[in-house]
Amino acid sequence: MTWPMYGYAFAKLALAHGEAKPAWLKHLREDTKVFTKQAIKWLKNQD
Amino acid sequence: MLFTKAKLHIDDAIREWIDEQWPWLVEKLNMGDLAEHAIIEPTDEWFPDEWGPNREAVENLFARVVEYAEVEPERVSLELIEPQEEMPPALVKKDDKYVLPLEISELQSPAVAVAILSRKLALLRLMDAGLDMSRDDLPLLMDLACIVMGLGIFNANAAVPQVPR
Repeated sequence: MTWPMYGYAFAKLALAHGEAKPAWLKHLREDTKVFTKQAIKWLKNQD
Repeated sequence: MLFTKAKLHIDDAIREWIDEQWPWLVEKLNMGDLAEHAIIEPTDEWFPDEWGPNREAVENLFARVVEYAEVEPERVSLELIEPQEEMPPALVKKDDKYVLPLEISELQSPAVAVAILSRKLALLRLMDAGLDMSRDDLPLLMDLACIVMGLGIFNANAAVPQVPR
């Protein structure tokens, strides 16, 4: 998958865990981390 | 609000593909409530065994990943192989077991080894779920399955991005 795809999928995983700011984000490479944070924000805006 | 607007960097077709596959994977992989499954991190907490270029360390790592992938350990075994010109098969069926070939050159980084083993085990679980192995999106599904299974951090950090067809 591409990094933005990983970001979106990780965002879905974070929200499935009820975590808007998951601690495990720190382990992701920087670009994937940014895409994940943006996707979490986007998904939360869809609620 | 220019700098705070939430933005997605994937197009709608890709987002819809992930949105469709996600619940399908959760169901087919028998994940139930994802919140009840751990997200495996590259830390000593999850991988407390000492790492080194020896058989014992590799077997310990393999055992951890098999456990975290929720695969019965008696179903799989690890085979370390010399680097190949062509990519080795992900899984080899031998009698009633699956052998996971792993090139010794992949052992330079334990995180990369975890990523490769996770992907192989994700494939095994997809096979168990009856997935059509001829699907064009199989490589992408394997990546997505790793995330659903809680092992995606390793793949995201190690993988070469694959663009969907």
